[in-house]
Amino acid sequence: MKPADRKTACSQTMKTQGVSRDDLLTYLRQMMEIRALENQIATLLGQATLRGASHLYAGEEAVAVGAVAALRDDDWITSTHRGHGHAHAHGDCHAKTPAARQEHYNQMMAEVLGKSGGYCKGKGGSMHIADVAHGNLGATGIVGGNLPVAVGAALAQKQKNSGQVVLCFFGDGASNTGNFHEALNMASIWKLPVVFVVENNLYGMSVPWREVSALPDVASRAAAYGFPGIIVDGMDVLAVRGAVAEAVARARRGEGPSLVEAKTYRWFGHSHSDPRVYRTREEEAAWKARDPIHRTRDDLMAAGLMTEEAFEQMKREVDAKLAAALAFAQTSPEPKPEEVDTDVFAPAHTTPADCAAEAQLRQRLRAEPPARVITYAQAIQEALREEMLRDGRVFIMGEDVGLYGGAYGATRDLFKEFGPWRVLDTPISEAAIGGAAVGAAMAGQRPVAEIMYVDFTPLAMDQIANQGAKNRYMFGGRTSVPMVVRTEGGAGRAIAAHHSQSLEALWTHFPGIYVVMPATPYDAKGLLKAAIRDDNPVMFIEHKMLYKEKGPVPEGDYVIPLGVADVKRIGKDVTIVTYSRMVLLALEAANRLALEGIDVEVVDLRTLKPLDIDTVVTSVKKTGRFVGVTEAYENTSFINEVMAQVNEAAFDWLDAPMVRVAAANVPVPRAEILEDIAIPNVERIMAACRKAVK
Amino acid sequence: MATELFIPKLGQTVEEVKLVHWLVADGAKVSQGQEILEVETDKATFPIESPTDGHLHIGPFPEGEVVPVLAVVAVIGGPDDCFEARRPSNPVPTTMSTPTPAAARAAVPPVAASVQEGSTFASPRARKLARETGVDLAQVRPTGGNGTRIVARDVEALAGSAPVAGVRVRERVPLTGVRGLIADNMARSVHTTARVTLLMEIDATALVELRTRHKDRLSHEWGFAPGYNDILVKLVAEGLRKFPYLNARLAADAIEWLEPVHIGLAVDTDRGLMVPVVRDADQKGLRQVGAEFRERIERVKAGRALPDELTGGTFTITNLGMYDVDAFTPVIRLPEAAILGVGRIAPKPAVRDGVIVIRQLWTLCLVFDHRLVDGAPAARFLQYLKQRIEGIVELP
Repeated sequence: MKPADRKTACSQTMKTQGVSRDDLLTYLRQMMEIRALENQIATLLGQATLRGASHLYAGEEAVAVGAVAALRDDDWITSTHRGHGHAHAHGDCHAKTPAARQEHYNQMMAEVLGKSGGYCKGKGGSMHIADVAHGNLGATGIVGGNLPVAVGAALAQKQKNSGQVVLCFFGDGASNTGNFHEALNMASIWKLPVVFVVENNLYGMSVPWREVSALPDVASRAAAYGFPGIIVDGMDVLAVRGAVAEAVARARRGEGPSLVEAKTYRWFGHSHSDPRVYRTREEEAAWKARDPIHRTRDDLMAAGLMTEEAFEQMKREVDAKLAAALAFAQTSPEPKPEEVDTDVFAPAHTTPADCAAEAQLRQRLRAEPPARVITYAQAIQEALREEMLRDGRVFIMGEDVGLYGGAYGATRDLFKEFGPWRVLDTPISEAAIGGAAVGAAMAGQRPVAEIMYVDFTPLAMDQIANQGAKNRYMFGGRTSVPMVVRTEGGAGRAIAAHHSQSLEALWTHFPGIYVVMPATPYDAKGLLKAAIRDDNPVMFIEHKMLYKEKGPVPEGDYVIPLGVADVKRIGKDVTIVTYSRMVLLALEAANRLALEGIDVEVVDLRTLKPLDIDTVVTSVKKTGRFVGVTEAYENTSFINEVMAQVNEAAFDWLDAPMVRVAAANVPVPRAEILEDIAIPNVERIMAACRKAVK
Repeated sequence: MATELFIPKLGQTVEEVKLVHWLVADGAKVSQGQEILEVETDKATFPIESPTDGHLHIGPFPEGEVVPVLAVVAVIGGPDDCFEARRPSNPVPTTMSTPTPAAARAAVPPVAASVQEGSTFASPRARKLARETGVDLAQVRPTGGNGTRIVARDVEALAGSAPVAGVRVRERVPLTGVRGLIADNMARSVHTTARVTLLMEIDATALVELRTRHKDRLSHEWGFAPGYNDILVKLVAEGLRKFPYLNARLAADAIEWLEPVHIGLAVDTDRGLMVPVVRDADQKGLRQVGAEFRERIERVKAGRALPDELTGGTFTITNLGMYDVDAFTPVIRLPEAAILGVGRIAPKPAVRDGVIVIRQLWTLCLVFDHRLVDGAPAARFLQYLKQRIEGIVELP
């Protein structure tokens, strides 16, 4: 392009978009700062003074800077493993003074180096920079991991009618994940204010896009979800800004999502260890000739808006800023060792007084004739309804939770009372359900997501466990994810291996998420209310055979603090530790063993995480004998963890080897006769107790 | 450089101690002055403090083993120090020179050894219980795991402490330390002595008036007002000079009348009954006797008494008057010949010159071992005390 044409084109674009000279200079500076940061990190990696993975954004600067430039300060972004550019563009826009901008740059560098002065106190690093307070919902190490999260954040805006928009960055690789399709579909059916920005840098790590997609453009896929897909030159900051601004305006008008595909290229390999054998040096040179920084510089100069000297001055300023940031990061203290286990969970609101009050309530309920008896399903519904009335941020989403009232009737009538924006029937998209709950929670809502069977929760595991459970820690304690996933498990209905499992151990394994498994209607109501009010992700696992069980439940508000076990029966000879439906079987076994002169104590854990090991240990110290009962597969079941802790805390009090009663290590069979063999029953629990006291 | 932890000489007569219990784990960090080990002499248990800061590395002496004083039982040094490298000598464990049931229990081989030798296993709870009750697991018949494993009930059966069927045990107080010593000593006394008890009612009106008269002045001059126990100690000590057959002990082939008069006074403490001793009480004034007892009782109650302060008595006085007990029959502390049980002083009706009057009456109970003394001589001693008390005009 001739300089004269270039001048005309640039001036015209600026005019159309309402972009000032200062704006364009800011874009240039931001891009140069991203480049400088990435080059510096590449040097540190080369010197091996920096460890850890760093996926560098150099070459793609125009996408982050142009897209973020199209946002308002109160809008939101989600980022990716190649996220330094997003975090810098976003953070720099939010910093309103030169000092604040330097501080932001410092925190970026310090976080990459894993230092305490970083955005996440050194706990996240290169792949997890976040600034949730200012609307940056963070970067993720999982490709495609933040698409459902962005949808959830957008859902929160729709529910709050905030007028705010969520910008969701991801790469070409992510657009082949299930999350991409679930998220785009969910966003489109609800017309959510989200703009998907795909940075197509042509390679998913090493594999060329053309080899993993029959369609040449990611943007074409938007057609499948009924919203616009736009292709834009990702090396032109104004082109990106223009396309995204249009998509943002559409989202703000309530017309739903758009997909903007920015064609771009990364200067470095996928990561530092990448020899880039999959692309030619000619291809790299051709793209580098289209450097977005040179492009903007040349535009500014052609339009007479910047001199060569001014550009050199800007370069010197960027260098100085980088040197200051590096000095800050290098002198920032290492995180203190005691930081290792802080920020895993948000602090509990419940106090010892709450625990005492609940213990009293329990005692009273046992002593007095029941004033009111309702089913477990009704207790769940009552807890949901009361919490939704109490707190407008609480909403329900899941498959068939609306008019149908939930597969087991636990959300019956709530759709009628609260309407479609607080009781949302979702597509059959478990990952998007889990991830949307995470995003909505981080954006200020208190979602209660339902996954119909615990057997289906692995479909949502990345979203709930990798994003929801870890974000608080990875982001240095600077976010919380107050969400509940309600699901149900267990055998007993002869519905075989995909609808009968007890998979709680999958969930107790991850740090940062609580697991609750109530056995009675009273426990179900009080624990669900506590779970909804808790500021952490909670996996709330009901049992399909308990929904019709009846029990005394107080009317109105009461809360059972998480992490308090209940001694359901007092005994002296042997302690059964169990939870969920097995509590009922254990109590029956205890009553029958009493006739044999064996006095059984039954401890109902109620919550597996946090685990009330004190109550268990106290009981074992009394009886000297432990029988753990779980409906889960014996192999690596949660009861094994309880046994390990008892061994550590009460070895000297044990009078016999601890005994497990658990499900056989086989898929749950359909035939009743086989299911009964595979799943613990009263006789097997009794036999285990006899063995322990023998 | 690691510091050696040795067993201090806990008194003139103490040559060996039993290692009762390490209060901190092997390898743990300890600080100077921290109590890290409990040892037991034939009289009482004593805490041993760490002489320095560092990591504790315990030597190869199992809990329950008897070691001579000055034996090095551990070293305290860096986390990687070890006992063997620092150990200067290898003291040969011996048994107590005067075997008592407690010492006999101490001589039992360590639990782990006996289990390894046999083919039976013991549950952790059973081992813990055996340690606490001094039961030798080799003697226990296993009933757990179809007869392959000793469980808690098996140890309880041998310890004779199995809870009676249907009776719920609220708490179990292990027979270790002072409690174990008391149990052993009392049982041995009752089973071996020929106990006779003499009760004598004494008019203490004059004594009460005398003490009342001097109380305020002495409290000011001495810092304490002498109590009835102090006065009684003096009177008893002087009486024993006149009636030496009660200041005696029984040896294998002779009754030995003892030269010094050392009076023990029974004291109730948190750790059980303890008996501090004042030596040569007959030769000391009331003020000194009272002062010594006060100091010793204070130390005993704080658990800081020295072994020599708790041993060597020749006669014991025990007073339950403060609990409104009128009279009782205490158990003789072996190898002593007698013990004096003291009840309360209380106004009661008495006959004087054919008239019922109210007097301060006091019952003294002398329990003596008939193997050493006959009834009449013992009665004469008690009568002597009665005369001294009823005729008292000045403090002894």
